[in-house]
This record gives sequence, C-alpha cells and structure tokens, in this order.
Amino acid sequence: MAGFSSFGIFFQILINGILFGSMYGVAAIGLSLIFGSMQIIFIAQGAMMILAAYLTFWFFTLTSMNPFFCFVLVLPIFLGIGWLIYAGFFHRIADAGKNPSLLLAFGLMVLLENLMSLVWSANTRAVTTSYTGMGLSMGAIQISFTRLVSFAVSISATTLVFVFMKKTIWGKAVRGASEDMKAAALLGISPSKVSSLTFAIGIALAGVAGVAMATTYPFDPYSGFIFSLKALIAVAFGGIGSVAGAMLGGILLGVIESMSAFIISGGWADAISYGAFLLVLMFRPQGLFGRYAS
Amino acid sequence: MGKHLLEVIGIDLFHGDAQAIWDVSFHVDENKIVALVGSNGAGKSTLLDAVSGFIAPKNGDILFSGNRLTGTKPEEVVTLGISHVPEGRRLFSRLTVLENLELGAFPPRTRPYIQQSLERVFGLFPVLKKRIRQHAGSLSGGEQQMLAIARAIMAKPTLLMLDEPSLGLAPVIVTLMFEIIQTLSGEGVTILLVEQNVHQTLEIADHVYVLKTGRLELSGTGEDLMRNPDFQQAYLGMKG
Amino acid sequence: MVVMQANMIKKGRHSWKAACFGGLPVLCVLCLFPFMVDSEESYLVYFLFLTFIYVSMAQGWNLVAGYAGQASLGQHAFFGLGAYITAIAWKAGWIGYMDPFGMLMSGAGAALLAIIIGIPLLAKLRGDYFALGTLGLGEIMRVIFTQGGSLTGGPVGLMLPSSQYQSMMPYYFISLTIAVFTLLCMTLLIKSRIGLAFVAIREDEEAAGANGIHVLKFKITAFSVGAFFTGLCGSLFAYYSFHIHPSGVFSLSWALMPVLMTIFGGIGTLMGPVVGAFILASVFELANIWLPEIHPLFSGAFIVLVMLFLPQGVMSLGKKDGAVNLLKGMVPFNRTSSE
Repeated sequence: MAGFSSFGIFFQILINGILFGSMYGVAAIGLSLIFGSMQIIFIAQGAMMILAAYLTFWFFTLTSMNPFFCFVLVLPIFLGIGWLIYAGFFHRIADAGKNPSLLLAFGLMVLLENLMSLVWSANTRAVTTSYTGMGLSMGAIQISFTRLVSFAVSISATTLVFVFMKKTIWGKAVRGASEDMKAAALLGISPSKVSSLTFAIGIALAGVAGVAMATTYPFDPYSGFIFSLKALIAVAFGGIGSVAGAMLGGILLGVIESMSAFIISGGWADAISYGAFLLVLMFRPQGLFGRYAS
Repeated sequence: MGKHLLEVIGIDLFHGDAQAIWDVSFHVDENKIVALVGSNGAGKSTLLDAVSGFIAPKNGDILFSGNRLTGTKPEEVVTLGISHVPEGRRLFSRLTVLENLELGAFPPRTRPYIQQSLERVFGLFPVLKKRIRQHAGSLSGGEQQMLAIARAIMAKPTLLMLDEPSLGLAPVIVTLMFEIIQTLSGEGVTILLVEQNVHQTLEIADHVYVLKTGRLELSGTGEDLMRNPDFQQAYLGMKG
Repeated sequence: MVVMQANMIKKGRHSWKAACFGGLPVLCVLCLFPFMVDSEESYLVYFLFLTFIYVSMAQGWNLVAGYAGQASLGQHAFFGLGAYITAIAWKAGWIGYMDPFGMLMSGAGAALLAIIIGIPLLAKLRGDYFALGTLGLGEIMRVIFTQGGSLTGGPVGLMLPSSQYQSMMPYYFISLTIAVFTLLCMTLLIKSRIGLAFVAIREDEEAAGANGIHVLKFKITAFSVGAFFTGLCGSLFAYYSFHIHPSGVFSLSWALMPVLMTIFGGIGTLMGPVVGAFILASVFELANIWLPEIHPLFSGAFIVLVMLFLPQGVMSLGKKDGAVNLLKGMVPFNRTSSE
C-alpha cells in the first residue's frame, strides 16, 4: 500500500507539472519563433500573457461568460496586437542591432505592466468560476478541472499552430524564416511580412497562455517577467525555432519545477530551473530534443 | 546594340565603413554562362549580394533587362526572375526536401507551376526525389548543394546566380555540378557563376571576369584567359 | 582593417583632449558644489551621488558589450554580490563603515565571480546565448542569497547599523571618485593594445583569433573589469541603504539601467555611458517628481520612444547624418536604411 501511494504521489506531481508546463510551452513557442527569425528576445511575452489574463478576468466579471470562451475573443485580438507591435515598433528598428530591440521589448513590458496596474489596480486577481474547485479523481490522483481544461486548450492551440506551420505555405515560410531569414528573403519571402506574421502568432500564443493561466493561477500586473523568464528557459530546453521543442521544453520545465518543489523547499527549486537553463545553454544550445524536431 | 540581361555599371560597395568593391563593371548576356573568379576575399559574394538587393551600391548602377535594379528589395528581386544560391547554401535544415522545394516556389507567379517545376527538378536531380521526406540537414554535402540549386530553380528564374557551388564537394560531385550547370544553360537559364575552382569554370564559361581584392583585373573568354601569362601564373599555377 | 583601427585611435585622441579640456572644469564644479549647498538637504547632491553610480555601472557594461562585444544581462549579479560582501563583512566585523578596503574587496569578489563564471560562459556562449546565460546567472544569485539562511539574512536580508551615518559628503565624493576612476580606466584601456584587441574581437572574432589574439583571455578581462566596477557600486550602495535584501540588490533594474543608459548614450563610445546616465537619470527622477503616480509608465514610454527614434544613441547625433537620421526616423512607418 505504501508503495502504491508514493507512486501515486509521483504521478500526481508529474501530472501537475505537465499541466502547468503546457502553459509555459505555449508562451515559449511564440518566443522561440520570434527569437529564431528576428533575434529579438521578446522579454514582454509574459506581460502579454498577463494582459490576456486581465482581459479574461474583465470579460468574466462583466459578462459572467465562461472564461474558456475568452479564447475565441483573445485569439484574434492578440493576433492583431502582435502584428501591430511588429509593424509599429520592431520593424522600424530592424536594422539597429539586437540591443535596441531588447530594450524596446523591455520598455514595452514596463509600459504594459504599469498600464495594467493603472487600469486594474495592482491587486492580485484570479478568475474563480463555479467549477474552479472541481476536480477529477483517478485512483489516488486528483486533477483540477480548470487545469485540465487549460491543458486541453493549450494543446489545441499548439496543434492549430503546428498544422498551420506544416500545411500552409506561409506557415512553412515562418518555419524557414525562423531558421534563416536571409535564405527566406532569397526565395522571395518578404522579411517584413513573415516577421509580422511570426510576431502575430507569437503574441496570439501568449494570449492563449494567459487565458489558460487566468483560471489556474493568481496573477498581478508584475508577474509577467517571471513567466517570460520561464518561457525563455523552455525555449532553451526545446531549441530555438522549434514549435514542438518549445512545448516539450515547457512541459519539461513544469515537471522539473513540480518535482523540485516537492523534494526541496520552494526557494531552491527555482535555482534548479535556472541551473538547468545554464547547463543546457552551455552544453546543448541546440536544445534537448534532437536536431530536427519541428 | 544588344541589351545585356544583367548589367553592373561602375559600382562601389561597402561593408559598413570598409570598402569591398571599387568601380566594378560587368555584364551578363542572355543564355550565357558568365563566371566571376578570384581568391577568397576578392569580393565576389559581395557583388552577388548587391545584385540580390542585400547591399546598396554607393555609386554606380545595376540594370536588369534594361531596367534599374538598384534599390530593389531582395524579395522583389526574386519575383523579377533572379535567383541567388548563396555561399554555404543556406538550406532550411529543419524542413524536408519537399518543403524546401515548395518554398522555392513561393513567388505567386510560380505557384501555379509547382508540379511542373518539381518534375523538372527531379529530372535534373533524381536523388532528391528519393530523399523527398528527409530533413534537409540530413543530406550529404553534394545532395545539399543539389537541393539548393533545385530550390532556386523552383522560382523559374531567368538569371541564376551560384555562389561557389563546388565548395567542399568531392571531385566527382563537382564534375556533376558543372554538368548540371551546362544542362540548365541549355534549357535557357542564364547563369552567373562565382567560383574559386578556376579550371573547370574556364571550361564551361562563355565569359570570365577575374576579381582581385575588390577590383576587376581581367576579363575575357575562357581561352583568352588560359593564354594570358599573368593569369596562368596567378591562377592556373595554383591549380591543385 | 588596421587602417580602420588607426583611424579610430586618431579620432579617440581628439576626444581625449576634448575630454580633458572640457572635463577638468566640470570636475572642479562637481567637487566644489556640495560645499556650496546644504549637502544633507540638497536633493541634487543625492541625485548626483546616484548618477555617478549609474555612470560607473554603465561604463562597466560598455566595456563588456561595447568594446568586447559581449552584451551581458547579468550585471545585477555583480552589484548584488558586491553589496552582500560588504554587508556580511561589516556585520562580521571584518571591515568598518565606508571602509575602502571593504569596497575594493567587494569589487574584487565580483571580479572573481566574473572570472569563475566567465570562463565556461564566454568559452561556450556567443551573442544572445551569452546574454541569456548572464541573465540566468543573475537569477541564480538572487535565489542563492534568498536561501542563504542566517548568513545572508534570507529574503528579509541584512540590516546594517544606520547609526553610523553622519553625512552625505563621503558618499558623494566616493561615488564621484569611482565614476572618475572608471572613466580613467576605460580611457587607458581603450588607448592601449588591450583596447585594440577588444575592437578586433568585436569586429570579427574569428579573424582576431586567427591573428593570434587570445580571444577568451580578453573577453574574460573585459567581463571581470566591468564586474569589478559594478561590485564597487554595489558596495557603496550597501553602505548607503543600510538594508540589503535580495529582491533589492539583485533587482533586474540594476542589470537593465546600465544597458539602457549606455545604449541611449551611445554604445562603444567613451562618453556615451556618461551622457546616457546623466540624461536618463534626470528624466526618470523628474518623472518621479512631477508625475509620481505614473512615473514608471512614463519611464517605460520614454524607453520605447528612445529606442524607436534613437537606437544608435545620443552620441550618434554628433556624427555625420546623425541628426538627419533622427528626423527621418520620426516619419511614421519609415525606416532609416534598407537591409
């Protein structure tokens, strides 16, 4: 009996890690594509997630609409926001080098965080619905209902993006450009158009991650940076430019965090994530999941 | 007075503040194979980048079919009918052979013909058809070069520019490469070839320009140059 | 390539003379100023004290990123470490209040960290990956010090005897000294053969290596000297704030401010970080004073605007076409050059 229950605990931690990690993964996919094609570390990705979370909170408070229907609203809005951010901001400094882009992203993050703080106050929010406390039980394992649905939506969004990237010509162009932008230009693919599209997809995914998070985790305007950092770690694990890799990297990170938090105290758990991050960067910069995962 | 297909007139090219090309002029006539030879650092790739639209000339002009090409963005240069296979090939290693080829036919005017183009390409490079679902990064050096050229052909170019297609390849493959270049020329594609492999280049080129540290040194047909004593000493003497 | 570098040094010599002639009077004013006002009440004294710290940290970053070409996002690791070394040593009684030995030791400790971490990081990581690696380093440092137990005071941090505070004057002059010191170091380094090597590495690393330059050694030198400056600043900050806690001294602001100031001023130039630090510190403080409620909002907007319109920094305005490009950049949806 003891053996079974510790196995059960192990599985519980694993499942929680996977569910949580899928959220990192979704945000990481966008970051990875943007970084791969434009060498921009979009440090404001987490802030975008939080924005989506606030919008979800707002819709929910106003209309009592099921938060998960917010996906339908958030997706087109964030596609537009992503396109605008590239066309209005990053496109203009595309030739200036990487540092200005990084700082621009940082400035946007600060701007966004403080705007959200102004509009929605700095208090921590969470979206609680009638089914927030509900859970499913499978033997000894409890799975929170909201986390499960969030996971399902994250995976669906990822699959949608994956199919787009695999089957459509523009999706292939985004994949190609995220590996080698100059080569794409040599084939007649306009760097500005493909970059706009990449950004739109990247931010839309941040939006999906944000909605997923809103129902499972409390947030405040300044939580974004930590998520950006976690998404970056996921990207490092998965290899830059790889869609599947970013998702797997996110899940892996989620599992590592979950396990670490259980085995050691919460504070050191972060150190393990950052340590793993550094190790992967140094010894396997192409990612952990093989060369051609895409 | 025949119009040249590609005409480069007196251009200066800079990398930042450093000048790489001084007052270079050359032209490529339709249906011909023109070669730019010279050792490393002579500026040959820089010239191709200028034609492709990646570097803007400080002075001078570039004309394509009589129209001004200077200042055209790289992605538009492709739609005009110029395809550039860069040094190092720059394949999308994470995409499959087929996907690389499909992206080759990205310009809207070429997309209706994608099946025909694929057949043409597989006719030239049967080995690619065998590897169609493999990731481009897993191909051998020679196969990658073939894929790079095939991908460029998918855009149905009028002018095909090749930057060092023989680099790093086994001699057998190199010979095959030069045969393919001649085949393509026979099909009506105008070729601008940049090479360090001088000997085989001279054999197939209709006209050769010799570049040295950013300046045009010599120009002539293959036979002219082979008879030129300076050229013999500098370039043929080095032949391995 | 050699011609290019000789030209750069020639230009540098002119700015060196200009800096001396322009700089000495300014230095005199800065030295006399605190005696002319009530240094305890004067906001300007406090402001300058802080700005001198920013200048030093910006120069430190400029050395690594602008001259050696490795953009680091982990300066906060060195700042925080410097602060903690001072705080812990002081609490343990090994050093005293405003102890120069303590400050140098903190700087040295930061430099040591830079060397230890720098060797694997710089050997294996390039460009963006290096930046990410340093970011990770900073975060790891924060976690370590948060978990440090009684040695580091954990998340609450360490409290230092604030009763020792007597006057603002030593703070002002020490931070001024550090700023001048970093500026002098930078000037000497850049004029020397070391500086030449840095530029060679920044322009083309492989060529530099092929020319016999021991690239890794120089990168580590730049990284550790920059860390030393930053550690000194951390130490001074510890003496000033009397309360050191991880989220304060390892705050990302300490990593990003020097970056922002250097880029704004002009990366890879001698006076860029100085100009950038002064202008930005002024802007942020003024925003804090005039728009206290929303000043972070303003700061964020300012950063965005600066990066959009002046990505090459203020010093570029002095160059040919600099001002013209700035105006061009203001046209909506315009780009200053084509790729």
